[in-house]
Amino acid sequence: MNCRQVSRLVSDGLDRRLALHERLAVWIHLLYCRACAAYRRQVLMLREAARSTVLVADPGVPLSGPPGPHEPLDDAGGVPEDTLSPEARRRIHQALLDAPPPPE
Amino acid sequence: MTIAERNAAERPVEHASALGPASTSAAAWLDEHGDVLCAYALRCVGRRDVAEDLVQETFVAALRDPSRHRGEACVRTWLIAILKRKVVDHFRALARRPGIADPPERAQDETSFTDRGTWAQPPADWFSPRVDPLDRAAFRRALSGCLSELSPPARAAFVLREVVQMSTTDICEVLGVTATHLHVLLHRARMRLRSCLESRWSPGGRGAC
Repeated sequence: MNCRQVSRLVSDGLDRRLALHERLAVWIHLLYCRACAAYRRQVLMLREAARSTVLVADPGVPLSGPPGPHEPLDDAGGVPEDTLSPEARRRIHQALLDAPPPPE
Repeated sequence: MTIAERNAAERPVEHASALGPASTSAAAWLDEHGDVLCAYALRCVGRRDVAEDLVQETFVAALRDPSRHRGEACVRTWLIAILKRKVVDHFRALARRPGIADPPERAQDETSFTDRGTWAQPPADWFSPRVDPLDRAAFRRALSGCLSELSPPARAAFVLREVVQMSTTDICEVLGVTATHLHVLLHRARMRLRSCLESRWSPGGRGAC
Protein backbone atom coordinates (compact mmCIF):
# COMPACT_ATOMS: atom_id res chain seq x y z
CA MET A 1 0.00 0.00 0.00
CA ASN A 2 1.44 3.39 -0.99
CA CYS A 3 1.25 6.79 0.70
CA ARG A 4 -1.56 8.01 -1.52
CA GLN A 5 -3.75 5.08 -0.47
CA VAL A 6 -2.73 5.34 3.17
CA SER A 7 -3.52 9.05 3.29
CA ARG A 8 -7.03 8.26 2.12
CA LEU A 9 -7.48 5.52 4.72
CA VAL A 10 -6.13 7.72 7.51
CA SER A 11 -8.73 10.31 6.56
CA ASP A 12 -11.47 7.68 6.24
CA GLY A 13 -10.53 6.36 9.65
CA LEU A 14 -11.75 9.62 11.17
CA ASP A 15 -15.17 9.13 9.63
CA ARG A 16 -15.85 5.41 9.49
CA ARG A 17 -14.67 2.26 11.16
CA LEU A 18 -11.94 0.78 9.00
CA ALA A 19 -12.01 -2.89 8.15
CA LEU A 20 -9.47 -5.03 9.95
CA HIS A 21 -7.25 -5.44 6.90
CA GLU A 22 -7.32 -1.67 6.34
CA ARG A 23 -6.34 -0.94 9.91
CA LEU A 24 -3.51 -3.44 9.72
CA ALA A 25 -2.25 -2.00 6.45
CA VAL A 26 -2.29 1.53 7.84
CA TRP A 27 -0.65 0.49 11.08
CA ILE A 28 2.18 -1.34 9.34
CA HIS A 29 2.72 1.52 6.89
CA LEU A 30 2.84 4.10 9.68
CA LEU A 31 5.53 2.07 11.45
CA TYR A 32 8.10 2.91 8.79
CA CYS A 33 6.69 5.93 6.96
CA ARG A 34 7.44 9.15 8.82
CA ALA A 35 5.69 11.27 6.20
CA CYS A 36 2.38 9.48 6.61
CA ALA A 37 2.76 9.52 10.38
CA ALA A 38 3.25 13.29 10.18
CA TYR A 39 0.22 13.52 7.90
CA ARG A 40 -1.86 11.61 10.43
CA ARG A 41 -0.85 14.03 13.18
CA GLN A 42 -1.75 16.91 10.89
CA VAL A 43 -5.29 15.71 10.21
CA LEU A 44 -5.79 15.03 13.90
CA MET A 45 -4.66 18.56 14.63
CA LEU A 46 -7.05 19.87 12.00
CA ARG A 47 -9.85 18.03 13.73
CA GLU A 48 -8.85 19.32 17.13
CA ALA A 49 -8.58 22.90 15.92
CA ALA A 50 -11.90 22.77 14.10
CA ARG A 51 -13.63 21.32 17.14
CA SER A 52 -11.98 23.32 19.85
CA THR A 53 -13.79 26.55 20.02
CA VAL A 54 -14.13 29.10 22.73
CA LEU A 55 -17.85 28.50 22.65
CA VAL A 56 -17.74 26.71 25.93
CA ALA A 57 -15.87 29.56 27.53
CA ASP A 58 -17.62 31.76 30.01
CA PRO A 59 -19.62 34.62 28.59
CA GLY A 60 -17.51 37.72 28.46
CA VAL A 61 -14.27 35.92 27.77
CA PRO A 62 -12.74 37.39 24.62
CA LEU A 63 -12.68 35.03 21.68
CA SER A 64 -9.02 34.77 20.93
CA GLY A 65 -7.56 35.57 24.28
CA PRO A 66 -6.59 39.06 25.36
CA PRO A 67 -6.10 41.31 22.36
CA GLY A 68 -2.40 41.49 21.72
CA PRO A 69 -0.55 44.35 20.11
CA HIS A 70 -0.54 42.49 16.80
CA GLU A 71 -4.19 41.53 16.86
CA PRO A 72 -5.21 41.88 13.24
CA LEU A 73 -8.08 44.18 12.43
CA ASP A 74 -10.04 43.89 9.25
CA ASP A 75 -10.30 46.78 6.90
CA ALA A 76 -13.92 47.54 7.73
CA GLY A 77 -13.01 50.16 10.25
CA GLY A 78 -11.11 48.44 12.99
CA VAL A 79 -13.48 45.61 13.78
CA PRO A 80 -11.72 42.56 15.20
CA GLU A 81 -11.94 39.96 12.49
CA ASP A 82 -14.37 37.53 14.06
CA THR A 83 -16.81 39.72 15.95
CA LEU A 84 -20.10 41.21 14.83
CA SER A 85 -19.70 44.48 12.98
CA PRO A 86 -21.50 47.45 14.57
CA GLU A 87 -23.77 47.64 11.52
CA ALA A 88 -24.80 44.01 11.86
CA ARG A 89 -25.34 44.46 15.57
CA ARG A 90 -27.67 47.41 14.93
CA ARG A 91 -29.46 45.53 12.15
CA ILE A 92 -30.02 42.48 14.34
CA HIS A 93 -31.17 44.64 17.20
CA GLN A 94 -33.69 46.28 14.88
CA ALA A 95 -34.80 42.86 13.60
CA LEU A 96 -35.46 41.80 17.18
CA LEU A 97 -37.57 44.92 17.70
CA ASP A 98 -39.48 44.27 14.48
CA ALA A 99 -39.97 40.56 15.00
CA PRO A 100 -43.47 39.47 15.92
CA PRO A 101 -43.86 38.67 19.59
CA PRO A 102 -43.51 35.03 20.53
CA PRO A 103 -46.73 33.04 20.81
CA GLU A 104 -47.90 32.85 24.39
CA MET B 1 -44.70 33.98 35.77
CA THR B 2 -42.88 31.97 33.13
CA ILE B 3 -39.16 31.45 33.23
CA ALA B 4 -38.75 33.70 30.18
CA GLU B 5 -40.63 36.50 31.88
CA ARG B 6 -38.70 36.08 35.07
CA ASN B 7 -35.42 36.14 33.13
CA ALA B 8 -36.54 39.25 31.33
CA ALA B 9 -37.55 40.92 34.58
CA GLU B 10 -34.09 40.32 35.97
CA ARG B 11 -32.32 41.94 33.03
CA PRO B 12 -30.63 45.30 33.48
CA VAL B 13 -32.93 48.25 33.08
CA GLU B 14 -31.08 49.79 30.15
CA HIS B 15 -32.30 47.06 27.82
CA ALA B 16 -35.91 47.43 28.87
CA SER B 17 -36.64 50.65 27.05
CA ALA B 18 -39.22 50.22 24.31
CA LEU B 19 -38.87 46.47 24.34
CA GLY B 20 -41.21 43.78 25.50
CA PRO B 21 -39.93 41.20 27.97
CA ALA B 22 -39.00 38.71 25.25
CA SER B 23 -37.17 41.28 23.11
CA THR B 24 -35.41 42.47 26.22
CA SER B 25 -33.81 39.13 26.92
CA ALA B 26 -33.06 38.66 23.21
CA ALA B 27 -31.29 42.04 23.15
CA ALA B 28 -29.29 41.00 26.19
CA TRP B 29 -28.41 37.75 24.43
CA LEU B 30 -27.22 39.76 21.45
CA ASP B 31 -24.91 41.79 23.70
CA GLU B 32 -23.59 38.78 25.49
CA HIS B 33 -23.34 36.13 22.80
CA GLY B 34 -23.41 37.98 19.46
CA ASP B 35 -19.65 37.94 18.94
CA VAL B 36 -19.29 34.28 19.80
CA LEU B 37 -22.07 33.31 17.44
CA CYS B 38 -20.53 35.48 14.74
CA ALA B 39 -17.13 33.84 15.17
CA TYR B 40 -18.71 30.41 14.96
CA ALA B 41 -20.78 31.29 11.89
CA LEU B 42 -17.75 32.87 10.21
CA ARG B 43 -15.73 29.75 10.74
CA CYS B 44 -18.51 27.70 9.18
CA VAL B 45 -19.44 29.78 6.15
CA GLY B 46 -16.36 31.96 5.70
CA ARG B 47 -18.21 35.04 4.51
CA ARG B 48 -19.07 37.87 6.84
CA ASP B 49 -22.35 38.83 5.16
CA VAL B 50 -23.61 35.25 5.20
CA ALA B 51 -22.39 34.70 8.76
CA GLU B 52 -24.11 37.82 10.06
CA ASP B 53 -27.35 36.84 8.33
CA LEU B 54 -27.21 33.45 10.03
CA VAL B 55 -26.59 35.12 13.39
CA GLN B 56 -29.59 37.37 12.80
CA GLU B 57 -31.79 34.40 11.91
CA THR B 58 -30.58 32.68 15.05
CA PHE B 59 -31.54 35.54 17.34
CA VAL B 60 -34.92 36.00 15.66
CA ALA B 61 -35.61 32.27 16.03
CA ALA B 62 -34.53 32.47 19.66
CA LEU B 63 -36.84 35.40 20.23
CA ARG B 64 -39.77 33.54 18.69
CA ASP B 65 -39.46 30.79 21.22
CA PRO B 66 -37.59 31.97 24.29
CA SER B 67 -39.17 29.30 26.46
CA ARG B 68 -37.30 26.59 24.62
CA HIS B 69 -34.08 27.23 26.40
CA ARG B 70 -35.55 25.72 29.51
CA GLY B 71 -33.50 22.69 30.38
CA GLU B 72 -30.49 23.74 28.32
CA ALA B 73 -27.27 24.06 30.26
CA CYS B 74 -26.91 27.69 29.34
CA VAL B 75 -28.25 30.25 26.90
CA ARG B 76 -25.10 30.16 24.80
CA THR B 77 -25.33 26.39 24.30
CA TRP B 78 -28.93 26.82 23.25
CA LEU B 79 -28.15 29.66 20.85
CA ILE B 80 -25.29 27.68 19.32
CA ALA B 81 -27.63 24.75 18.79
CA ILE B 82 -30.01 27.03 16.88
CA LEU B 83 -27.11 28.49 14.89
CA LYS B 84 -25.89 24.99 14.00
CA ARG B 85 -29.29 24.24 12.49
CA LYS B 86 -29.08 27.47 10.47
CA VAL B 87 -25.61 26.47 9.23
CA VAL B 88 -26.90 23.05 8.22
CA ASP B 89 -29.83 24.66 6.36
CA HIS B 90 -27.39 26.99 4.64
CA PHE B 91 -25.28 24.09 3.36
CA ARG B 92 -28.39 22.09 2.44
CA ALA B 93 -29.57 24.96 0.23
CA LEU B 94 -26.08 25.45 -1.16
CA ALA B 95 -25.77 21.78 -2.11
CA ARG B 96 -29.01 21.98 -4.08
CA ARG B 97 -27.95 25.02 -6.03
CA PRO B 98 -27.17 24.09 -9.66
CA GLY B 99 -23.58 24.36 -10.76
CA ILE B 100 -22.17 23.79 -7.30
CA ALA B 101 -21.05 20.22 -8.03
CA ASP B 102 -17.56 19.37 -6.94
CA PRO B 103 -15.00 19.98 -9.64
CA PRO B 104 -12.92 16.93 -10.48
CA GLU B 105 -9.87 18.10 -8.57
CA ARG B 106 -7.60 15.39 -9.76
CA ALA B 107 -4.90 17.93 -10.35
CA GLN B 108 -4.54 18.66 -6.64
CA ASP B 109 -4.38 14.98 -5.72
CA GLU B 110 -1.83 14.42 -8.44
CA THR B 111 0.51 17.15 -7.27
CA SER B 112 0.53 15.83 -3.71
CA PHE B 113 1.92 12.46 -4.75
CA THR B 114 4.45 11.13 -7.19
CA ASP B 115 3.55 8.63 -9.87
CA ARG B 116 4.50 5.85 -7.49
CA GLY B 117 2.07 7.14 -4.88
CA THR B 118 4.67 8.54 -2.50
CA TRP B 119 4.53 12.09 -1.16
CA ALA B 120 5.83 14.69 -3.61
CA GLN B 121 6.60 16.84 -0.61
CA PRO B 122 6.47 14.99 2.71
CA PRO B 123 4.18 16.59 5.32
CA ALA B 124 6.05 18.60 7.91
CA ASP B 125 6.03 17.54 11.51
CA TRP B 126 3.58 19.90 13.20
CA PHE B 127 4.00 18.32 16.55
CA SER B 128 5.10 20.95 18.96
CA PRO B 129 5.66 20.10 22.61
CA ARG B 130 5.08 23.68 23.51
CA VAL B 131 1.59 24.48 22.32
CA ASP B 132 0.95 27.92 23.60
CA PRO B 133 -2.41 29.66 23.25
CA LEU B 134 -1.13 32.32 20.87
CA ASP B 135 0.19 29.61 18.60
CA ARG B 136 -3.18 27.97 18.68
CA ALA B 137 -4.91 31.24 17.88
CA ALA B 138 -2.58 31.74 14.92
CA PHE B 139 -3.32 28.21 13.78
CA ARG B 140 -7.05 28.77 13.99
CA ARG B 141 -6.78 32.00 12.04
CA ALA B 142 -4.74 30.33 9.33
CA LEU B 143 -7.26 27.49 9.27
CA SER B 144 -10.12 29.93 8.71
CA GLY B 145 -8.26 31.46 5.79
CA CYS B 146 -7.50 28.07 4.28
CA LEU B 147 -11.10 26.91 4.74
CA SER B 148 -12.31 29.72 2.54
CA GLU B 149 -10.15 28.45 -0.29
CA LEU B 150 -11.78 25.02 -0.43
CA SER B 151 -14.32 24.21 -3.11
CA PRO B 152 -17.85 24.74 -1.73
CA PRO B 153 -18.68 21.01 -1.47
CA ALA B 154 -15.38 20.15 0.22
CA ARG B 155 -15.82 23.02 2.61
CA ALA B 156 -19.39 22.03 3.40
CA ALA B 157 -18.29 18.45 4.09
CA PHE B 158 -15.41 19.48 6.33
CA VAL B 159 -17.37 22.08 8.29
CA LEU B 160 -20.36 19.82 8.88
CA ARG B 161 -18.07 17.00 9.96
CA GLU B 162 -15.44 18.80 12.03
CA VAL B 163 -17.02 22.04 13.20
CA VAL B 164 -20.71 21.16 13.49
CA GLN B 165 -19.68 17.57 14.27
CA MET B 166 -22.48 15.78 12.50
CA SER B 167 -22.51 12.06 11.75
CA THR B 168 -21.47 11.08 8.24
CA THR B 169 -24.95 9.62 7.63
CA ASP B 170 -26.57 12.96 8.39
CA ILE B 171 -24.06 14.87 6.27
CA CYS B 172 -24.78 12.60 3.29
CA GLU B 173 -28.46 13.43 3.68
CA VAL B 174 -27.83 17.17 3.92
CA LEU B 175 -25.46 17.35 0.97
CA GLY B 176 -27.23 14.69 -1.09
CA VAL B 177 -24.09 12.63 -1.66
CA THR B 178 -23.16 8.99 -1.17
CA ALA B 179 -20.95 7.89 1.72
CA THR B 180 -18.12 7.18 -0.70
CA HIS B 181 -18.37 10.62 -2.22
CA LEU B 182 -18.38 12.18 1.24
CA HIS B 183 -15.16 10.34 2.15
CA VAL B 184 -13.58 11.65 -1.06
CA LEU B 185 -14.71 15.20 -0.21
CA LEU B 186 -13.37 14.97 3.33
CA HIS B 187 -10.05 13.52 2.23
CA ARG B 188 -9.72 16.23 -0.40
CA ALA B 189 -10.57 18.93 2.14
CA ARG B 190 -7.99 17.64 4.63
CA MET B 191 -5.30 17.34 1.95
CA ARG B 192 -5.87 20.88 0.76
CA LEU B 193 -6.09 22.29 4.26
CA ARG B 194 -2.88 20.66 5.42
CA SER B 195 -0.94 21.84 2.41
CA CYS B 196 -2.45 25.33 2.71
CA LEU B 197 -1.59 25.47 6.42
CA GLU B 198 1.98 24.39 5.72
CA SER B 199 2.43 27.49 3.61
CA ARG B 200 0.72 29.83 6.09
CA TRP B 201 1.57 28.55 9.49
CA SER B 202 4.31 26.65 11.24
CA PRO B 203 4.71 25.59 14.85
CA GLY B 204 6.25 28.20 17.05
CA GLY B 205 5.02 31.10 14.95
CA ARG B 206 7.83 30.90 12.41
CA GLY B 207 5.33 30.81 9.56
CA ALA B 208 4.21 33.61 7.33
CA CYS B 209 1.09 34.08 9.44
